[in-house]
Amino acid sequence: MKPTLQRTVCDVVRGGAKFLWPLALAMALLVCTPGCLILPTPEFNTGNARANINKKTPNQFESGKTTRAEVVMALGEPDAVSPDESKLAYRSEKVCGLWFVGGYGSAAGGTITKDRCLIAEFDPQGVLVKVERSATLVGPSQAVRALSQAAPTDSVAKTDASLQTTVRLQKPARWLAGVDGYKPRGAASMLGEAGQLLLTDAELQFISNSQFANAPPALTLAYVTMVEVRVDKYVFGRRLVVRCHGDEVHSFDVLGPRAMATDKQALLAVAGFLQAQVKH
Amino acid sequence: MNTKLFGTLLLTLVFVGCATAPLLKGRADLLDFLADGKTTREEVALKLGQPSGKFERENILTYRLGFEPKNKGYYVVEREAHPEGWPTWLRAKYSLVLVFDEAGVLRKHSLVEVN
Repeated sequence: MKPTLQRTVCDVVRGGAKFLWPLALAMALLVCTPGCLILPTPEFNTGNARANINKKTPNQFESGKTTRAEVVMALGEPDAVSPDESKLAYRSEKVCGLWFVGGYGSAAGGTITKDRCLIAEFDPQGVLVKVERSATLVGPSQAVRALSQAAPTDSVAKTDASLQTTVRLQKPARWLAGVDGYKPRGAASMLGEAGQLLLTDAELQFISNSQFANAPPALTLAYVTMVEVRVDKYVFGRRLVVRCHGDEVHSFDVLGPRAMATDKQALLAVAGFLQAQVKH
Repeated sequence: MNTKLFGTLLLTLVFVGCATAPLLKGRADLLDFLADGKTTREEVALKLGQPSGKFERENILTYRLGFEPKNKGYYVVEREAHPEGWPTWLRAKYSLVLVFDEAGVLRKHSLVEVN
């Protein structure tokens, strides 16, 4: 989410009125002096992520004894799961500071958040092997790597345990079902469903961000069913279009590594791979 | 007198039109049907719909529940995710965890306050 002064205020208010003093102090300072200001605050939950994880949580469980069902019963639905269910992740997000930039009558600000991830690892019998709590100031990438729910986007020839197949190319993408590039009216402004586009030896798969990694892909298209793969253009935009037998059509906005904006190079890589498969 | 009566009636009609009862989400008795050792997976699916998470060959099902304090009502919320892949718990306050045995009968359950 883009940090804004409005969000900062909302987070601070949500965290409690006692945190209002840093905001008031920062605003007073910024009115008088231009520059950048970082204020540490007591930690409080942002409200976006779960709030039932703390530093004592790992102590609730005993390695070699606690089962996966017991962990889920105690902490609730995990936030991410590895394809083989050997790892469950529970994420908390806390504001630990505020930043402000401003002066000369204008100001901008945001929150500094600390993501913590509790990762519980299980053996094939579903018994806890270990449970760890990690912390990062730079976002969720650590747990994402650990669970491979949204694996490194440039991974090539990575084997996905749940799919029992080799993933040749994987990119973050947005899927627009039934949309033919930019052709339908209003298609340029359509966002699509966010997720991961996986290209295996035999098929295209799309795993939605809203589904768990142990669930079957939201979309599976075998290369043998594809009749056309092309890149549609609209002003500066580029969109991948895949047409299959029976007039079935799907479009994809292929995104960069941070999944924030479209990535032309990534799109061309995906399109090139698919076109080579369709020719065969 | 008639003017006053007419005015009162008119005002009443106007305000009655505006006074719609707030639509409260959820039901306080939504989870009352759950009974360990009795409730089946099919009954749960009929009452609560599709779970947001399935684990251990569907022996563990999870539902996200929102909560309406005014009527103490629970309602099922779909799993929502940020573009980077992490789910958000903004609309869900509780996680309902249901553990079934191999025959599909509820073995145990818990309602976890998540947010």
